[in-house]
Amino acid sequence: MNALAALVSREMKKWYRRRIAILFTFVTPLFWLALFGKSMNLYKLFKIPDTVPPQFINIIQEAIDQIIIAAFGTKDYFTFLATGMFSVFILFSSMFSGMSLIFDRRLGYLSRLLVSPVKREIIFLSRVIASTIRNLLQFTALFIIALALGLNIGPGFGPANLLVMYIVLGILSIAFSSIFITVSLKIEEHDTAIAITNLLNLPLMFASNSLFPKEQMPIWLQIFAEINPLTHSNILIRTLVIEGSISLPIVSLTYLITIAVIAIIIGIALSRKILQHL
Amino acid sequence: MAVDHIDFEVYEGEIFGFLGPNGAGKTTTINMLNTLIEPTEGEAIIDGYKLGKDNEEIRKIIGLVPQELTADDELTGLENILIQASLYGINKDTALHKAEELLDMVDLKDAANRLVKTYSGGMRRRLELVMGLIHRPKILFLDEPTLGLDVQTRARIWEYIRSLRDIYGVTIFMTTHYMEEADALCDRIGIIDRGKIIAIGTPRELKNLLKGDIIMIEVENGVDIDYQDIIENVSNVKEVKYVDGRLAVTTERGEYTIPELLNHLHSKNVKVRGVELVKPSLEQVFLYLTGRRIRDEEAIDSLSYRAIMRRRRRI
Repeated sequence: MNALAALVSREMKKWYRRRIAILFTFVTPLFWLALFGKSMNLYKLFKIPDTVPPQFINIIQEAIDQIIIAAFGTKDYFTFLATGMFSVFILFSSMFSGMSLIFDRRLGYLSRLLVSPVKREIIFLSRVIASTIRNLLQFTALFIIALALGLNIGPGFGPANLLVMYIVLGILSIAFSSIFITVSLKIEEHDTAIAITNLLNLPLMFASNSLFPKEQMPIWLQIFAEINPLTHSNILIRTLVIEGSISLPIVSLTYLITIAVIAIIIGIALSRKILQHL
Repeated sequence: MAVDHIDFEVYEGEIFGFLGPNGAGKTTTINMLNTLIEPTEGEAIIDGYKLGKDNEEIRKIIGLVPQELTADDELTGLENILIQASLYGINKDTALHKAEELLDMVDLKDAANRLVKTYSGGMRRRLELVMGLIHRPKILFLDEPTLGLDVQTRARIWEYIRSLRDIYGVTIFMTTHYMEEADALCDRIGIIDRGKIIAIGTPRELKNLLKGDIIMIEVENGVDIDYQDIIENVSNVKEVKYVDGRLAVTTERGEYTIPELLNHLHSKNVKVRGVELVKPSLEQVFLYLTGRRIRDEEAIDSLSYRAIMRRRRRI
């Protein structure tokens, strides 16, 4: 058996044997979707008061619709949020992808790998791959939940869009998992990893177009949003789902692929260096 | 510094043991030799390969059974073994075949498809042995292979280790702080204390560092006996003392001295009430060399942290 396949299957077996833990990974994104997404009904905030003369209602309504669509791409804020939460979910679960390495170090399993002649980058890559498979499987469940909660998919949405969604989120997952697994190459305490995760998760989500469009942000925040891979993943996912289009903005796609490639190259190089000795 | 300029050789096909108290530098030495830790200076040649330069080659020919139980307890025994085999590029059929043979040898076949977390300590140790051997290493490092096991299980592990050497011709480098383990199992022993090797040799050679066996003889009127007369007339006797109401006769190979000694005492009309032969043990050798005793009590500490982590991880 190939070492990479064996180590990926190890990660997967450990994952699906912890069924309860899998359930918990859905809790946070589910809260965001069901509670935040559903309680924040942006469209209804702009309900035209009864005092407005009837002859203006249609014109005002038309203006409101256009403003909201211009900002969110859809009249339905829930759909905007849900399409943002898919990538946020990938981020959140990728953040914990380095945990298995830290535990392996703690529990001595890493020594077992390090005394073997297995290529050091295999140890790193197996976790990136396993994390990405897990993320995409979990995304499937999340997508179904979002549909059940009323996700409005664009009229052109077809199997090709769905497939490309998986590819985009897969690339995002490779990027984030590579970054967080690389970080955990040196970490010995899982508390440190949790602290890093808590430090980064919300800022990364807020400094992106996941919850709100970046155009209305102050310029300094826009700069952060612009370099945040989440933003570009969201642009791609919204093109696929809300617009139902498959012709993706080339800048965002290129940016995402570039980040993933750089992250994986750095991860391979550092694992070759760091994983030589305990 | 855990280890300070040690120098030793291990011969092919032997069981070589590092004996010393906890913290003496045993695990550090093992981890330097198996490439886990980079030595700050010095040189080691393993089967012709130079440590540091040829680490990849060394990793192919060594196996490690670490002190901690490090098999993945969320997987079954067989799953653990197959992953281990894959690290060495062994294909699945060969791995299954070898796994079956080794599991059979350590009587673990029935438990092969159970999750490791359901294993007892002894079973886990045996699984670790199988995992360390699946790629047929030329050299096997065993770090405290019976730590925390009860006496019966320990004796069984010894048997397995002996048969490993006999059947596969593996060179075994092991550490232990159990005297009787080193004595029963090792062809040669290096006694290590505070990062330095203080003696090296076969168990017999080490024990010969002491002057020899002691024959304790309970006699009537011990005070009246001419000690010099015994030393001169009984072969191999080196020293005679009177300790706690008994004669303490230091000699080589006491079992052969006893008949002659008793005959001599009989001829001198000394009445003998009882005889005890005290063989020198490694415990006494260590005491003789360092002035301290090796203690067993700290042994559990190194396991407990990981045990806590394991429990924590399951939550």
